[in-house]
Amino acid sequence: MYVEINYEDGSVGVACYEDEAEMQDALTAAHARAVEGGRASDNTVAPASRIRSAYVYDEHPDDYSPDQQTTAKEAQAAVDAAFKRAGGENLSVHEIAAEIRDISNPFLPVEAVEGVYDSKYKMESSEQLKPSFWGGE
Amino acid sequence: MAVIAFQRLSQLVTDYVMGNSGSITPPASWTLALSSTVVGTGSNMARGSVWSATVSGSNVNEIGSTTANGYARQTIAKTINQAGIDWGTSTFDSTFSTGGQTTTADQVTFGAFSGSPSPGGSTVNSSVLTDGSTLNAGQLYFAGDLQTTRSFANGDTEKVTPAIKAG
Repeated sequence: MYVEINYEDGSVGVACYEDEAEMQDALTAAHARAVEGGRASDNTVAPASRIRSAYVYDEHPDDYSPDQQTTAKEAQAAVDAAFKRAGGENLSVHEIAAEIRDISNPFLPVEAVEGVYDSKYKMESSEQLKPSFWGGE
Repeated sequence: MAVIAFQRLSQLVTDYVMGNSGSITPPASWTLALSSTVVGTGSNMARGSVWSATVSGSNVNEIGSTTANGYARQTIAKTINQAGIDWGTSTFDSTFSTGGQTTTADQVTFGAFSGSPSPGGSTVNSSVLTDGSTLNAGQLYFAGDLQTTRSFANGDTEKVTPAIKAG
């Protein structure tokens, strides 16, 4: 199982665990280290950061669209959106290409992420863990 | 700190940027990986290296392919200053001999680890820009040695900030 971990300092990590027990063990240890004011690990000087949210996925959330395929309908919608945002009749072909390219982007656009600790990925998570899972408040 | 640009990155410039190739194209997103292989100076990673679980010659070996213990590749989006982890605004260095255009990605966090990944238990030496989420697979783009060789225990995290200078 894969977990998207949002840390208090704004960093985001995806971790891969064999099962729920292993996941809880790692998240609890990481969070406790931050609460105690410790380091991110024994062999670094970087401070540990508290966990603020965690989302569970069945597969790596980067695999949202690994084959980079799309449909005519989806491509047309992206082109329409690009022209609507530009508010004009003419638009750089590169801006249109970027709009279509972002169809396969596994991350949500900035305006679609409401909270700073909300999931950053387009893929639907199977579960959002409660803070009590890792000893958070 | 030793760094290397692999063949695929050069090929993207020659074939995709210059010639708009339809077959040599950038991935949907970049991913950052950790490797037990040292970048080195010719005897380790090479321009034509490939990912491989077999530690031999110039092969690049990823950590955690047997036992992940929390290890997974980290995504870097193919965008500039958007919501997730992606690239920053690039800057220009006009120095004739060593200048160029530099961009730095948001810092990515590996872990929390639940223990020591295998392979790579005590010998995490480098980070590699690649694509896809399958370990020991995908294209190699560039790599750099970590500041120090790392090992991981339960609860540990590792933060890496990749940057590239084109010049």
